Amino acid sequence: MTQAIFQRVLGRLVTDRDFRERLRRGAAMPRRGLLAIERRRLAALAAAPGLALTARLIDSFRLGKLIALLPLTRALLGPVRFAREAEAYCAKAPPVSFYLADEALAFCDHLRAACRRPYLAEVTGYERAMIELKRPRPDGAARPSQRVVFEHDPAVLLPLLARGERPRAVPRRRHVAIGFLGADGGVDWRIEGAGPAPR
Amino acid sequence: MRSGSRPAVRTPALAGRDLTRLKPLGIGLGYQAQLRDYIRSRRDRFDFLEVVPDILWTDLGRGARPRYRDIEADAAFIGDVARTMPVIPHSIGLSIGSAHRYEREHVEQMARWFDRLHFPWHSDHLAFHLTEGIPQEINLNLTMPVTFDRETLSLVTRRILDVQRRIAAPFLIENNVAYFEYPESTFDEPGFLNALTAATGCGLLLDLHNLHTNARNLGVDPLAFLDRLDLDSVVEIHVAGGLEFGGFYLDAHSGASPEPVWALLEEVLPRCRNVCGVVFELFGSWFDELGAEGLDRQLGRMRDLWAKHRAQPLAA
Repeated sequence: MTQAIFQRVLGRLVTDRDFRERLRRGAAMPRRGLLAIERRRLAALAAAPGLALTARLIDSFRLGKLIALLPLTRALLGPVRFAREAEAYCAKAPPVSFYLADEALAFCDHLRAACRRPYLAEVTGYERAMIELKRPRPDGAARPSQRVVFEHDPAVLLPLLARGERPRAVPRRRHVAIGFLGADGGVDWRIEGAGPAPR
Repeated sequence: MRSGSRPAVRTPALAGRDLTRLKPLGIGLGYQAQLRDYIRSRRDRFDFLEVVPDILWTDLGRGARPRYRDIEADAAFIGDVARTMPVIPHSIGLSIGSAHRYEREHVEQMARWFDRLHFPWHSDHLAFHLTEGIPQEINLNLTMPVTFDRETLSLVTRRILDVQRRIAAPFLIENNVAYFEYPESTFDEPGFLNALTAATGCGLLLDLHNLHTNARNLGVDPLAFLDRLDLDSVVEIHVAGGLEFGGFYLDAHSGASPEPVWALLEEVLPRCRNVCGVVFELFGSWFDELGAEGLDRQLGRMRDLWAKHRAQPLAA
């Protein structure tokens, strides 16, 4: 099955820019499993502008999905930083699904590891919880409630972001929010108790 | 529309080789959620609705039961439309050109759809998006072109025959858009498509905007392409618009069809003796820009050409 290996390498060419560059320089061609014609094809494609465009289209499609599911996180980071982080995420995590939820959750994990920014943990935590609550699940699968810890007042923070405004000096106050899916399919939130303002 | 029980296996004979007996439908519109109001209020502007079924469900992944979970609002809307006009599925999920496997469960899902909607034909792209990966299979989220060689011809032929055995409606394969070409091909694209239709009896979905895009970016001669293609296999035609980006012309489904696509439609429509429909494709996010009147104009122009050129099918 050399064709399967050929397609695997081609897939890597359009999802891994470093690999594409190395192969373009002749440094990364797999040694086994490919026919000579497949090697020639891959070598030619690594330098083809149309292949680089294809890679951009794949990344753009993934970015579009992330924007759709994480609007508040994007408002917090700003579109440029959000896109830059999406690019970094895509470079290390090839796409595995056409659908949005898993990709958005994995990107939240990436952001929490890569970025230090006020409010980020709360906002990604909130959007993560919304995705987890609303995503379709197999029959019989549990849909557990979601717990989000806010260190700043969510009643101030979230509406600001929803209007596309960057939050500044949101009152610090610990809230634990529990989200669950209502009978009508909407998400309901219950605040378990506002704690004292953290120092 | 949720995944249900496995429907009965159907005879393969009907599935592939009866293209001449299909009933012409006329003008079609590609479904997008943003077009719902348009579809509700202007059903007189088109004769059938084409849907990408993959955007009407969520794929929960291999092994999940059910694997495909319908998005209820979309499914209900499509069910409502299907009571008044034909709904034709146009899939993006088969990955029929993947060497390591193709989405056999997608075929089963389409068989369930066939039991519900009784569509006259269905289609997917001559492409692949699944590849092996480490540690997980990769889904490129984009229809990648296949190599036009004998190995791919044999592979895709087997898969099409498999689809035809399972679903008793003719299956069409769409000529793909590509932004690069594989060197040293055994076939040119029309030659490959002709070999595929000859081997399987499948029909063709001739996407004229894909052809135009490949002409712009790869230097394909569209008229020579059409001269080489077995046009009797064409059951459906797509038209769409695109945009310039980064030195390329993109198949972006972003608005009105450019004039060269209309010229190709004018050229090819009288020559496709078995064509049953012409579909306009528009991504929903571009609908505000094109507007309802703009969409009316696209569909009206298609209807004028259909009325002027549509040939009768070979057999009544």
